[in-house]
Amino acid sequence: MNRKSFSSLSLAALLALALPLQAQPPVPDLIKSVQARIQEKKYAQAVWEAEGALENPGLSATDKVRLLKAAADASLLMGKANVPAAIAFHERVVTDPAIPNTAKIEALNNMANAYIASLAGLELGRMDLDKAHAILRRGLELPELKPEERAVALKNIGRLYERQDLYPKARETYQQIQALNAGDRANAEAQRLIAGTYASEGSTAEAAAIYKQFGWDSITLYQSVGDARQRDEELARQLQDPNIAENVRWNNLNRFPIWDNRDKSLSEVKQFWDAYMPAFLRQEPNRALVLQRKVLNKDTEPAFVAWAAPIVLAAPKIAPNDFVAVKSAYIDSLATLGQTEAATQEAGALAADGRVPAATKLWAQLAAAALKPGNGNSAAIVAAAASVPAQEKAGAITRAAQTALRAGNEKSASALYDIYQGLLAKPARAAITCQFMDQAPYDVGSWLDSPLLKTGAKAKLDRPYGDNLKFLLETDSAMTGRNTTADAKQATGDTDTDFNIACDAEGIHFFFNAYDARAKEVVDGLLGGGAFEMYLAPGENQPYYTFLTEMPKGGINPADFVTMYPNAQYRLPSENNGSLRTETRSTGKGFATHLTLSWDVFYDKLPSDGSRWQFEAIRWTRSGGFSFGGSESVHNRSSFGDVIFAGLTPEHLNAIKRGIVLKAVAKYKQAKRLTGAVGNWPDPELGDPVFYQAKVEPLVKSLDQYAEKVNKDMSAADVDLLFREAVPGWMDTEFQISALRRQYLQDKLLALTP
Amino acid sequence: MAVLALTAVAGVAPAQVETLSPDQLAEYQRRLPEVIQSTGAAPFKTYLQDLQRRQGGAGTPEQKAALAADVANAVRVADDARAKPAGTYFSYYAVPPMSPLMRLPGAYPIDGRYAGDVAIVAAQDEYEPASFVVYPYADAGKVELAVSDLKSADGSVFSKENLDLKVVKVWYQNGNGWYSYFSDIGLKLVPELLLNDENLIQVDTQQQANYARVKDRQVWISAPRKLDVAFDAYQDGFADAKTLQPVAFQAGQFKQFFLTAHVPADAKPGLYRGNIQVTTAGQQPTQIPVALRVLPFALPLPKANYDVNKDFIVTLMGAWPRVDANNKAFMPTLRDLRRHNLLHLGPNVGPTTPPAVAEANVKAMKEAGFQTKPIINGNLPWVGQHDGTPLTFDELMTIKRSAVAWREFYLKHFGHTDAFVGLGDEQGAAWVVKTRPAWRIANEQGLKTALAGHHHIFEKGGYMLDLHPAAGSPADKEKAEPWRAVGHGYVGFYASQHNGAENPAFVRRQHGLLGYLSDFDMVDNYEFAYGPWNDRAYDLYKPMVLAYPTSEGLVDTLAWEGFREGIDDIRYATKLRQLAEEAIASGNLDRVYAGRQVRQWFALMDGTRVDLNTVRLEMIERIERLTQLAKTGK
Repeated sequence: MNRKSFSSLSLAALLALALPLQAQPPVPDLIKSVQARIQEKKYAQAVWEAEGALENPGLSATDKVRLLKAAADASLLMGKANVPAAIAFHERVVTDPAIPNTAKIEALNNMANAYIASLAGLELGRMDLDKAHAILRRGLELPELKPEERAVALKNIGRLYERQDLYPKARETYQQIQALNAGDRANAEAQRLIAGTYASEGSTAEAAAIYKQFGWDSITLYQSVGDARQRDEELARQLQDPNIAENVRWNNLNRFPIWDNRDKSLSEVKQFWDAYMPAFLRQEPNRALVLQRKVLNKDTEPAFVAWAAPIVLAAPKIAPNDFVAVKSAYIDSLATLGQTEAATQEAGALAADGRVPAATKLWAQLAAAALKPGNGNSAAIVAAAASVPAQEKAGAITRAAQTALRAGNEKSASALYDIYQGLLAKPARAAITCQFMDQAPYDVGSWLDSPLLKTGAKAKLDRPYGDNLKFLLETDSAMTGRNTTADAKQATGDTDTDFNIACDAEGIHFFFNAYDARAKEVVDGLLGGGAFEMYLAPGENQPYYTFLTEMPKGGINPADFVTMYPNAQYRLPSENNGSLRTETRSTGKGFATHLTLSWDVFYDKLPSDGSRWQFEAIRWTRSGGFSFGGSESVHNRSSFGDVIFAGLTPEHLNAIKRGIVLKAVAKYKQAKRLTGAVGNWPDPELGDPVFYQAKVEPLVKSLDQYAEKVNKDMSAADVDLLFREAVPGWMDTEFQISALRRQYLQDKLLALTP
Repeated sequence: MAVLALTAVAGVAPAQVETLSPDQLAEYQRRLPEVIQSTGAAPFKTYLQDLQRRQGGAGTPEQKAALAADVANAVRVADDARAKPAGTYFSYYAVPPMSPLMRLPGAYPIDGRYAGDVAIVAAQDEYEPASFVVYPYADAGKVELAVSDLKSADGSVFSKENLDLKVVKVWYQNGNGWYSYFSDIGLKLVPELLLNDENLIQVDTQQQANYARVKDRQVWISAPRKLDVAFDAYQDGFADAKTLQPVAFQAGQFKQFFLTAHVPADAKPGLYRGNIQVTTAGQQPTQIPVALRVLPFALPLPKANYDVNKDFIVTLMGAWPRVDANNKAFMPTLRDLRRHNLLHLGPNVGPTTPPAVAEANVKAMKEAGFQTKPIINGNLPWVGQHDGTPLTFDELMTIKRSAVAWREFYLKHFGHTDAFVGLGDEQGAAWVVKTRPAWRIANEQGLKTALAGHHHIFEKGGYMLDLHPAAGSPADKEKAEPWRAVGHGYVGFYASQHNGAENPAFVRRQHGLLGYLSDFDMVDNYEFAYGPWNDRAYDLYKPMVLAYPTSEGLVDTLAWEGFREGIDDIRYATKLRQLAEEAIASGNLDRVYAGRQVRQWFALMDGTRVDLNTVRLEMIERIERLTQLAKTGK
């Protein structure tokens, strides 16, 4: 039978197929094999093999139990539907006369648990555990039951009551064990269980009384119920009790939570240390390692580290790696505390220690140098560490810079950071020229037909996205970072993207030709086509726009992520008003995406020749992100590239303005409608005619006068005038009136002279 | 360390909103001689002449561009000053305190009112800001600004103790400063901090670096991420002054100030006037007028847009202080949070907290004035898998034990169980399906449940879940609508954007009327981060800071004031809606129509575009109109 077919067969079918095996291996091997199948999560095969093994007539009772339990476990692991099968396997244990009661009681417990597992998914109130109890009670009815076996059966019943938070019933059950005369061990366990029921229901005093009666360690009890005060008192008492063995007292102290990093009370640690540790250390100096976790915790106060680290470092059996880590933390703590001389000495000593790895040695050398005034020889130290791998070297340098910074020596830190930066092969800032032309390609079709694809400005989205330290360190610094991902490109066939741009009187036109060797599968919906994430800032410090689109679906909604809400200085482009146009379609070799943004969106920040706008495009491929600018992370503005405007003559600029004038006056006319930003104010019920007359009407009159000048034959001078004096009012009438209204109402409320 | 004052040299970016064209810049340069001629104030004339001299000098293209911007600013100020001289050694502009404009030293206040009153309109028991920028004609090392008592015509006094004047510190933030919550490797200057002592933070524009003053040390707090060593903001010696300290003026560099009035609950309504006296050695004191209108009403707690009786929850993830209750920064921090309209903040303790700590935190929470019903606090234990594997009996019992413990905790400390406990975070649909029995257990104990994430959480658990921060924008009305349809729960936005942008107008809109108008009935954005002070400390996100921690409490920011104003917008809207509903219920047709007009006005309001400064005044106008109608009947 093909192994792969197991998963597709039901358990019942597999059981039906189970046949006596010929020439079976020895039973221990069979059991191991079943367990191995379970480990491999091949549960059906495990069941099948177990069933086969169970056919073996020479099986001992023990082996039979083991196989049946394994089969039951495997069945359970196959999911709720197989719970009946699991129960059936356990039932075979219970009904087999050759199997001893101990195993039967365990099987009944497992059976009850399997039944409880079958309830998973129900609401708690609908989980009826009576049946589980009935299963467990069968243990009390087994023939020839010995007292200790009955004790186990009762314990199982009691534990189930505990799981149900029915503590009195659990206690009552455990008390029945005490009445059995099942031996000291069973009685003691029953007592401990009874104490546990008290603790669980919050009756700590009753539990503690039992602990005391039997001389048990009540620290554990107090710890389990979260009573820190009593726990601490008991620990202190024990630590001071000379009748308690030294190693017991040490174990109690060692497991005390103050050593844990979650415990923040460092002063308490010192108190305990001073009170008890000298004696404990005399017996075993390696006990000092108990402080190590706190020393290495980055949140531990430097003063504590400076105190504790030397103690830990004095432990004879400190592991080499821990030695370096503790020493480093010690040096950093000294630096933070301003003990630069000591820090320098320690760093120097570490650097001279022949046992430490080369990268640690480099860090220690650099730290020692950086902590001294001047930091003169850092570059020489780095140069001498030629054998240290690049990434480790980079890490040592930045870590040494951090040590210097901890000491307040920012000059050294900055110098080290400069050395670090010098190791990186950072490509030059990406740039693409946006050439102004009379008619730029305006959709996917015109771009694909355009000679610009061959002759125009072109860029590649080929810079790997992310903080590629490894890549930057391992790339020759002479390279630009391009064409360095050939392996990845070959791997998924979707990482080659051309980027073109042009502008004309309408706006800026972006075009991306995203090649994809598996485009057909993407079109057919069998494979993800990836996506573009683009950002555009129309000048330094301007809000940036985010454009997201998927292939092959296309479509862009700039409102998906906004960095500014619309106001008189900011507009969001939209397909609804024609200020954004986009298209994505299959080219056969991949996908082409086009995006046009019209100038009216940017009318108050138009570029001039040589202006730079910031732009980034990341293509999310099946091999990760590849970008124009080389973003270290998403929205990583400083990594954006530049769009450099070129060929923008005064005539071109006037053509742009002409288009904006026409759009703006149309927008103004919309605002003047009865329901618009202007038209609403004269309304006697819903507007404010007084305000309209005082503030809005003068603005409207002025804007109307300009509007009369708009015609198809406007001169360049007319266009310039209207653009300068009327366009802001026409484009943003809504916001201009809003500002007037604000001032008007404020003046009214404050009785100010308008 | 060479700490320099801000200058308009390379590294100082231009303001983000106004881009002067080369033609405009040339025009201002052309006009400079004429402006010098017509300017009367001697210090200003001297400064203008200095600009003219520098125009003829050499310089890099960046320096020339900066100088051109300085000339443009100077000419524009001179044009403003010509009609109405403001001061002998500086001019000033009243500006909206909540504005999307970055008020950088080189940014002419295009929305400012030259020599205007610093004007505040506020309800009783409200905090309300005003702002102004000064334009010094000459350098001055120590300039003192002191606010006077304000007085009304009938002699009532509004004490200067209730007026808090601070300087707006421009410092370096990462390259996404002002605009988003994402990290960036670069730095840019951004106005953000509201300080009493502007020297708490030193800004070195040559090195592009921020320094924190800790006692007598200057600590570099803007190192690149790989160098960052986590500045301890709680260390002794790092705290702002208690009152405004003298500031430095630099010729030709705009400087913003922020005045916040706290109107006492019993303040007499009316118009109060006073001034801010500006003094420096060798100059005649100048007074900047201040006007305050105290409105004749107090603001109610916010209610939902769609139901004036449904509470509107205001909280922020992660807002409970990160220091213990015995830390001196603890109570000032809590009080600052409450003063900024954070209403629902749980005590960050629970059944497993040591009792003394729990008592202390609950006491502090109550003392600071946070709402004690409902409470958003605590989590049920994580059990099971992240997938849809059904919860077992034992896992549900674990949940039950925790829910019982939480129930007892809330009954003990608050006397009720109206509390939201979280379980999971941004879980998938299958997880929601399998978690319903756990939520039921919490509900059976009288508790409510909370889970943040995406729409599938509603699709699979909307009928059960009680509180849901929905991943998205406050403009996403479609995310609020389904929850409103079911009716019992609270839903707010988070993530688009998370906190971190310094722009107060953006923060105000996101946490205010935009979400309110979208029918969200909760603000619960991620997160209120307690630092770090280094904006480059993280690799993906910007520190999502609204106010910065120090050893003595928080340093407020423009964005944090934006948050307060956003919630106050909702409180004004609530007041207006309550009056509208009363009017509609009155049966008087004039009042009914007036009430419905308010409903219509809100229904037509576009929360993404509306000018919030105007809307606030419009709401006040309508509140007064409806109040008047209630008195007169028409």
